[in-house]
Amino acid sequence: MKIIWIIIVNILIMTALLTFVVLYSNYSSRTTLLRQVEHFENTTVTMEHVTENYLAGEQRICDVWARYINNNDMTIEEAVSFIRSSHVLPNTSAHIVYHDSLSGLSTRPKPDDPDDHTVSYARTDLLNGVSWFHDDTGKAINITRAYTNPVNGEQSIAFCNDVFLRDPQTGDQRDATLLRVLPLSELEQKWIFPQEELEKAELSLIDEDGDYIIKGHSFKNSSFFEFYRSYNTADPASVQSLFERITSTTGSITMHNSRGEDCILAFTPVAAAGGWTLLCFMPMKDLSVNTENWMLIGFVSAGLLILFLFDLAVMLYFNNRLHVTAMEAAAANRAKTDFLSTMSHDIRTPMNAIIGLTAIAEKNVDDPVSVAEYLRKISMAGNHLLTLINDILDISKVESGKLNLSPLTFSIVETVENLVNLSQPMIKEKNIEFNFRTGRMEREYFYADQLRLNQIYINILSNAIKYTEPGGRVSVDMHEEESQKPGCERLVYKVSDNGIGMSPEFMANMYQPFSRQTDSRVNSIQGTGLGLAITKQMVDLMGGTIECESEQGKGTTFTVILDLPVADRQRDDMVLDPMDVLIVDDDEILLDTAVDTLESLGVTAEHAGSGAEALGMITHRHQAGRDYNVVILDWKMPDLDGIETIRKIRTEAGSNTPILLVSSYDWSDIEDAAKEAGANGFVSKPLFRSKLYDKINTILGTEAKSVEPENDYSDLQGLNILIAEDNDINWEIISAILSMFGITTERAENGRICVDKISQAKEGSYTLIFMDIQMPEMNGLEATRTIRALDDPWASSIPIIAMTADAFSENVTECLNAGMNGHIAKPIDTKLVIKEIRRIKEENS
Amino acid sequence: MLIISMAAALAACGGKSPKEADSGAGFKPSLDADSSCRITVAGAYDNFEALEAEFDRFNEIYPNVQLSYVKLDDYNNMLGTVLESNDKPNIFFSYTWMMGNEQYDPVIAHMEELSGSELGLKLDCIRPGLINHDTEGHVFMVPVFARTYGMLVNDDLFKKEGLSVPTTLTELMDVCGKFREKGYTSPMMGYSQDPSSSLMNAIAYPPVAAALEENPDAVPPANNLDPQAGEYMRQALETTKQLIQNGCIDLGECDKIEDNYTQVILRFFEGDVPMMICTGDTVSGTKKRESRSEAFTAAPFAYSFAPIPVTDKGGYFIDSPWWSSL
Repeated sequence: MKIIWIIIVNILIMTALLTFVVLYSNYSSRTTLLRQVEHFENTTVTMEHVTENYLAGEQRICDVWARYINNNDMTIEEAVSFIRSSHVLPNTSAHIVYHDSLSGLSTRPKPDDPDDHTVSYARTDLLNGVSWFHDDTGKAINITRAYTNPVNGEQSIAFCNDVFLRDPQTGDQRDATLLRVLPLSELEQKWIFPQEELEKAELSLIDEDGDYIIKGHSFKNSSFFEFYRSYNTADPASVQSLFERITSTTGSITMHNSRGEDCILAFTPVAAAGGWTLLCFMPMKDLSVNTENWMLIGFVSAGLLILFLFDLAVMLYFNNRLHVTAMEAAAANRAKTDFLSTMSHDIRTPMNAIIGLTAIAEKNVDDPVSVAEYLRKISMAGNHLLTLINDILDISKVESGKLNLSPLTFSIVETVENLVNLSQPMIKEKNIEFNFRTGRMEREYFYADQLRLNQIYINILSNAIKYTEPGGRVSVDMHEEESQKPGCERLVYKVSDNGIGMSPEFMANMYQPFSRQTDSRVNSIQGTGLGLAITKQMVDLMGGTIECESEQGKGTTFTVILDLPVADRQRDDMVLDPMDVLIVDDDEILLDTAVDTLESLGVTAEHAGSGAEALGMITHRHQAGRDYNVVILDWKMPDLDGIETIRKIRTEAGSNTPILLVSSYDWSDIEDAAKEAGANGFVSKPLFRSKLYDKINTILGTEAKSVEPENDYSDLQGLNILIAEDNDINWEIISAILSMFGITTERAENGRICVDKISQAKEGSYTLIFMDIQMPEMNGLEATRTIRALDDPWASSIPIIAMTADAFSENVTECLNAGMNGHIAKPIDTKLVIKEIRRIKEENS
Repeated sequence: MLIISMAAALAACGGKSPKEADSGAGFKPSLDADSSCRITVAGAYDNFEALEAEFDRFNEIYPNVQLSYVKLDDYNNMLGTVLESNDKPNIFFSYTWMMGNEQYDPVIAHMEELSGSELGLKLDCIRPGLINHDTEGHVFMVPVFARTYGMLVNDDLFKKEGLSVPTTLTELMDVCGKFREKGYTSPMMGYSQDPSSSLMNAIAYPPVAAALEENPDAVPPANNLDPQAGEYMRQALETTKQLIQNGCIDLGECDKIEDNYTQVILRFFEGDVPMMICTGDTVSGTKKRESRSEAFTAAPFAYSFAPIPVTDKGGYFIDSPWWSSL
């Protein structure tokens, strides 16, 4: 779903919720308002009762006075005197006014004359016709409008009754009006709403014409109806209807006051005063309870908004992550497609060579030379295919996080020799100037995953060779440094070439799988593009660093730094007898390190930078009768190479000093020429301490020759090996290979048969067992464990070498843990097989 | 309290509405707008809508001040008593004729001197001619409104009948004749029951005042009610008589109007009266009463207020202020 739709849905939900809250709030407000209006109306009715009771009470007093006066035939003075003596309220008074003259007497004097009790209503239109009197003394209420008390000027109301007085002059009856006068302020004090929430309510009393009897201050005009019409718009008919309703029923309406505010007007007839209506008036805002509701809406809105924004933020966050994941998935998918495409191409290419060349070889079976060439090429293609498959398996393990290290004690010297040996064919083929220098190398044995270390070193070196054009230069520098990690030495491995170099763009991604520098010069270079990726992963896994400096067209330098644990086993007793050694090389750095190494072996080392210089020094020594004990001479030197220098040493200097020829290259090609010139031995670069120690001892005859016979396999004759292999072809291959070396073999088709055979065999029947791992009935690991558990000491201790396609380091570890003595990966390397056989043979001897 | 009272009295000064004044640069409430008190204004009017409208405007600035208007019965006679009572108002109507009249000395004694610097009232917002000073230069009263005399004119009726609003007495007579010919029994009407506020007063008073203005020598005898000064009323009264005799005014119809305010307006809104004689304060109540008239609601018309053209020079505009005191 697109994010916009999610937002829209969220907004719709929020809007719906808010609408509900608003509607509910309004409903609640309306309900509350209705309740309050009802309460207001009820209070108005209550006030009407209070008012009515008050008015009735006051009227009754007036009624009592009137009855008494009427029943006692009083003059006006007597009546006033009677009233004066019968009421004590300080603020009230009574007036008796003749109908005819509208003048009379007051119970209280005028403020400015204590003797003047006269009162006149002649200029007040209050008593100009008393039609509003209800001649029903004791029942009706006769009350005036608010008027100005003519005696004291206070706004007042008066309760009235007709009284009949005796004229003191004539004795005739004179009609008069008795007014019980109360200040309006007296009534206003009693007209206070009891409830606090209605304190702003105002009361008015109107007659049937809408004229105010008593007027609250917010009521405008002289008539309520006028007031209503002045500030409220309505058609005359409905207004008239409204007025009739107000003056005849109890209820409430809303209307505007003079400020245009919404107000509520409650009304109820005053029952005791015919035609009068009590009005109660209050602004709606003082009655309403919307504030809380808006707070509720505000809080809900804010809450929803916060929730929405939070959800949006979380959604965006997850969306971004999903987007990134989707991108990664798409990239992975593309990588998978690219991988398959690349694999398809990279596998088909050598397969094409193998199949094609096999077909050609079959057709030229009679031409041994051609067949041999085809087989060599098939072998190369096969090896490449094997490398490719190994790399693919490695990278897949790396990417799945299943790549583990299997540390073993190993010799760095052997590792480097192996490294040099492996790279020699390519160096030779491309005629590359190769130099391998070692600096300080105190330790020979380390405890690490040799297989992975080999892979790292080989990958980097083979890349350097591959990407260096024929005639170029590749040099390797290796030395130890002190490590910060306890028990470790820092091994620095630096490979420099002057090859094609890399572009910055490529370098940014060079550790990605299937990354290969595209260059017209390297398109023909075979490679999986996995080497650097695997190397980087392995270096990381071993806790090391790999750095690269490269410039297109100028070359590349890779530096691998690893902190390797030092093995317990070391060759600490390597000290030669005191002697003079001359080392000759055009590489000054090599000379320095070699001199240091030689001196650490206890000899006196001198050096020469060229063949001519060496020749001079040797001649000089020879003539002085102080020949060097050993001369170590580099093969490839400018002007005068190593072989020529030897020849001159032997011929011109006449020295018989033992000479070791040093080379970074495969010296098999020059062996004959060197021996013919007078070389006594060969040593390959780099010149490790142990290697120099062994070689010098060998050449001086002080230690048994340790050099393995190169083409002499007579030591293998007569060996009998048991091969546990379920696959017929594999059995055929291994048995055929071994038979070429005079080794006899027996086959066990699975682990069970192998165990049976070894159990039944006589002691010495087999030299060792090559054990496949994945076999039916009983696998190689189980078979090994069973054999190791046999009672027969010979049988249980017979050497067992794994020969399996399970080629990972953990497989090796698994095999060793099961009790095996070694591991050879399929497809088998004949040299390695022979080496392992010889190793076992030596160990047994 | 006193200051607020005066502020109430002068709230209409300046001609700007409170909102305009409040938002403008000139006006700022001189007191705390939250000030709270009750102010009672006493007067002789039954219905003083204009003043109550001012109360609302005042409350826009001072919302907590409760203003109320009280009509006193027998105002002129009772005012002194009321001012001595427990119920005395804060502001009350006053008249220039009270000054110097012994009967009203107690009333005058209650009046505040409004020009005093301690009050700080800005009386300069009132036209100088409207400020009444006593012989000693004191100011005891300020005008609250000016009464004008004229007539409401039904413009649409004139338009309908093809007549123009008259500007001279001759035109008035002519227009009235034409209206009568068209069936209008009383082209001019007005309240006629109470002499002091009758249409005759509205017609005659402006020209009498004008005559006195034109003859300053006549003012003293007029103030002394010297019969000779009555001569200056002759022309005005004869014009009034002439209007009645010529049928411009049907007094019988006029007598049906029960009061000089609402009923005058409602009668005019019946729509059949071309000219209704009244005062300016009556005109101020017309707008509110439009909706009260069924006839006007059913057939509204345009109307205006114009001087009554009682001479061939035209009519007179009288600036007749009413006063209030503290």
